[in-house]
Amino acid sequence: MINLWSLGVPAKTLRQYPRMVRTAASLTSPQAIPAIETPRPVLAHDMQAALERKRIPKRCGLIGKKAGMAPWFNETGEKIPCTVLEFEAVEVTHVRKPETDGLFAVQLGYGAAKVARVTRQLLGHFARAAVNPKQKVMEFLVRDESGLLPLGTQLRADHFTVGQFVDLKGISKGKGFAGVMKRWGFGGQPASHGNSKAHRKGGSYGANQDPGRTIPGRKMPGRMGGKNCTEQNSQIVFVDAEKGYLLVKGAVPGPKGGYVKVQDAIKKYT
Amino acid sequence: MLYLKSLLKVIDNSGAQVVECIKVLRKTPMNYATLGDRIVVVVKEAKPISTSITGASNSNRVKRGDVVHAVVCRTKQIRNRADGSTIRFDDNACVLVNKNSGEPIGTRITSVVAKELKDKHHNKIISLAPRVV
Amino acid sequence: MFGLSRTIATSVKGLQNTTRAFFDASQQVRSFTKTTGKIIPVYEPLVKLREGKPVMDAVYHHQYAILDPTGMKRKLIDASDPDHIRAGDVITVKFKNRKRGFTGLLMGISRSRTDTSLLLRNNITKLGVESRIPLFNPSVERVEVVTRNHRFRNKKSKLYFVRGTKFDVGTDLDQQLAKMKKNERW
Repeated sequence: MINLWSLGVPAKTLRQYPRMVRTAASLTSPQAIPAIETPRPVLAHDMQAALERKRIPKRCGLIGKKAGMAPWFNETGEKIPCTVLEFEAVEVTHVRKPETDGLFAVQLGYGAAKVARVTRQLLGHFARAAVNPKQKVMEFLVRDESGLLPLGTQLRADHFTVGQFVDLKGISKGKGFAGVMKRWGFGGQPASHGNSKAHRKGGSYGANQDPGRTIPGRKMPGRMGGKNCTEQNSQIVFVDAEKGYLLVKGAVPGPKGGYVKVQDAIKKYT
Repeated sequence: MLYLKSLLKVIDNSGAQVVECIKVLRKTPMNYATLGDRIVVVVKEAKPISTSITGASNSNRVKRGDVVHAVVCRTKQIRNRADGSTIRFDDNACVLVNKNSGEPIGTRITSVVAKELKDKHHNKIISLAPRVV
Repeated sequence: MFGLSRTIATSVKGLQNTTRAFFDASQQVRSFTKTTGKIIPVYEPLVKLREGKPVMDAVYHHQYAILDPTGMKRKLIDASDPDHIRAGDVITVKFKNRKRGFTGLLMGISRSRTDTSLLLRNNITKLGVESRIPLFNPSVERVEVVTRNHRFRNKKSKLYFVRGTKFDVGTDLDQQLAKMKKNERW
């Protein structure tokens, strides 16, 4: 605020325009500390900063196929429900480096696809790695250059050892369009006491004129499942590389025949 | 699965016949009692106190309306065990215990109890029981 | 970390892939555009594991070898075997490291390869007790048949209906069995 007194405006002039004068005291205290200039914060919105924040395993993982479930009896006679993951011809098809892609990653391929169903572009991609056309291609981020593997390297189930922990990423089973009771675990409404056609409904979606809108994030009916799902810290109980499978403790997201990314557990090893 | 209002059989000689659960101890409010859990019960039916019995078993006897603690010994609910087996009894039954010491009020237990009581350190009940399954 | 040396070993194996046989893909690819230009090599896939047989077969084959090396347990529940057990039999399951087995009326067998379990019902201290026992658990040593199915005439595979009826187990089969054995000895 400009203080007219300090500008040396004569008192006469002021009398002519009395309404322009601000007579109230200034809000800024003379004892106030002047503002300290701090360095401008670096906005970590770029990919490099995001990768540094991320917990990334040192080694690349494996593409597995969910085959089914089987019991496992351990030494103490306990029965552990286990999931069987199958590994068929998992080979390195591509390697990403910071010079070209800004990150370290290993691309793996699974199985063998029918050549007639693979596009020419992809055939060239596989030919460069000197591997056969693959059914499924997935990418695994690794921490640094030591995690990269030469093109065409075959990875088997003994990439993992018995007793170690892995993270399992898959696509959960699709449930279709589900109501709030199934999708979000709502309690529903009473079966009787005057209830009319609202037994499984979610109830109110919000207040009235104030705020006059439904708050974002409101839990509603909709498509359930069929989304990326991670199972963390699953323990491996048995590995057979010759037969190409391993047993992992507990359940794995997705249906039988679904592809699963198996990688060292980030919360245990990074 | 025993919770508020569940009726249980009493399988000791404390004098109570049927009790009603009024509280499951040391569980979250939405939870239920299962084998080996402590519960608070109200005695709904009891044997009349007879003058012919003397000694500790008579002085410890409970009567209708008493609020006592109990340990669940059998459930109709199927219980899974670590070795993959399951156990299920035809009734829900409990043994009345002292509120402070956790020792059984009665001196005898009349029928079979579950092995799970051992894991919860109810060793006195295990030793009194005629059969542990 | 784990299996680093193995990774190196496989990577050497991987380098051999360059010598894999390949053929011209242009003959295989159905394309609407002219593919006369560049010839794309297509490499042969690796040899199929397990000769292309399902992986679950290999899993169960391995599990049977560990859990049931003599095939005794499998024979017990094999319907084509004349001596197989079935619902209605009275059997005793004997355990390792445990004195007392579990005797009971076999109410049913839930068949699921190595996850197969037997549902037994007994009357202990005048109370019905049911136990489902996983047959292939290594702690299950053997299964002894006490009596063959004679009451139910092989009509049902699951005898859930016996609970609380006149068909129910009336006495403690364990005690009865002990008594029978004692009499035999006399």
